[in-house]
Amino acid sequence: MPIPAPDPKQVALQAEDWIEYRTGFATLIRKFMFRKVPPTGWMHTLGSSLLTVFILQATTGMLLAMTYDPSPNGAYQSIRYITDEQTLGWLLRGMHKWGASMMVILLFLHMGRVFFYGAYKYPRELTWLTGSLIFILTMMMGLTGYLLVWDERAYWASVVAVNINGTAPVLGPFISKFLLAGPVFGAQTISRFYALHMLMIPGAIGALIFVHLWLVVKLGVTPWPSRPLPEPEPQLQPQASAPHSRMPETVAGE
Amino acid sequence: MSARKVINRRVRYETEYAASKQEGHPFFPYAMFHDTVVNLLIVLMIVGMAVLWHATAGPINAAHPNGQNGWLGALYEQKANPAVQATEPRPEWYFLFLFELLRIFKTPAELILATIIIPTIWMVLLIVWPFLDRGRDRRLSRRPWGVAIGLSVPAVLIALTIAGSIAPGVLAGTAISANPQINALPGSALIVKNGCSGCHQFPSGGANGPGGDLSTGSAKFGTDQKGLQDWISHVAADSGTGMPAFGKTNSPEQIAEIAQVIASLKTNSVEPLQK
Repeated sequence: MPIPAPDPKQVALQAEDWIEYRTGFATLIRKFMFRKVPPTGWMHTLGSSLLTVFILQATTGMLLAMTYDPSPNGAYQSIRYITDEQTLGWLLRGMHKWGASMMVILLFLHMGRVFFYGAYKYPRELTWLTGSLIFILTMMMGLTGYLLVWDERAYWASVVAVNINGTAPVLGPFISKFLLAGPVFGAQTISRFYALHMLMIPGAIGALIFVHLWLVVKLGVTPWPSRPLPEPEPQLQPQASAPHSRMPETVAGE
Repeated sequence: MSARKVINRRVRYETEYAASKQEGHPFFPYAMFHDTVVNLLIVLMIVGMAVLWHATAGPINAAHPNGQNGWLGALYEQKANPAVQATEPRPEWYFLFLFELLRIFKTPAELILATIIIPTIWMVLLIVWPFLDRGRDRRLSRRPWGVAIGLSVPAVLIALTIAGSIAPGVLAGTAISANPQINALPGSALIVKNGCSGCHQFPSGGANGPGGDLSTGSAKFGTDQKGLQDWISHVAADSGTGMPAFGKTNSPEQIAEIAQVIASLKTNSVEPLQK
């Protein structure tokens, strides 16, 4: 007795339902994809480009880490091996190197877009704040990644950068000692920079990107500014039973 | 702000935002279409730069002991040698604005402006900006201060980056001055070997910053060779100038010979070596 062929549409729907019941992902994705957004254009693509470049940097970085040797004797040799001998290693390293520059350029452009749209204004102050932390951490990625090539330029530029960090009041000597992993620039320093560059800072950036995106989706994107509404009569009156009435008379930051 | 004002502001904002959403469209496929096109373009540009970089530059080998610079710079330089500083310490291009600040405020008294004060002010302003600029109207015509800052900050950063990128490099050749007697001193060869002209200006060239101008000797120490020795050996590094502590990679005799040359540049005649 032949088994009836399953209807592919039925199978797909059942699979979706199986996942949806257990995770709620289908609803989440549907809500995300089909949410209504104000009029947007090409200027609103810079943030998603940054996410793409970050993912690209993480991917090429993981692949480079498979060959790179973070030691004073091995670092330079492994960079030369990746660049000159490994199959497509030059492309991997080239994309990581130029992806970093692209990320900095996109950060400035994205920040400029948000600035001129006034998109950091109420109620998006925290979106800007997390974005500026991502910006500062990205610059730190550039600083820690530069040394890893371990050539003349990278080495001495990093010596100068760490010396300057050391001059900051109170925290300076601690920071420079932390970066050097000892009193002088040496074998431990490269491990320290490597750990910062591939674990600590990207982890922090990833977490901040999550918060940043959460806020972007929650609050929605900002359209090009137009004339604000005139001061209206509020349609919602605070009532004794409303949750707002539990709010203190003065609310910090508002 | 009173609870009523908070609610009024929320209601007003929600009304405005709902109206702008009315004119909008669903994220998929409209906004996502723009995103996809630009993201693909950006990735292609990164691949293109990697290809251009690799195709026009070459490796360090027997025929090219210093590598071959391409359109987008070298693949890598010589291996770092902590004992010899033969190249100029230059940062990635996106730190050149800070590097140029070091070149502007290079005297020890002003240096803290470049290393700490200005960068800290920039970072704090960046983070707290939304809490300073709280006006409700987002239109550019109603934000003269915002527009002024939004245009002037990038202009300053771009100007600093360009100025930093054209800073002269380490001097070519081994003659640090026009005085053959000074050039013949052992300290002059050490000045070349240590790459001092990567940051300092000498009579025959070198970088006019971030280090102080040495073309007529040291303005700070003059012919005080003991002071120069301490400064070069470790005091400069300890006082946060960014200058490496050359006492770690040079013997006290070598430091004394370098100090002798700097003192001699002051008088343009050979000063006796002080140990």
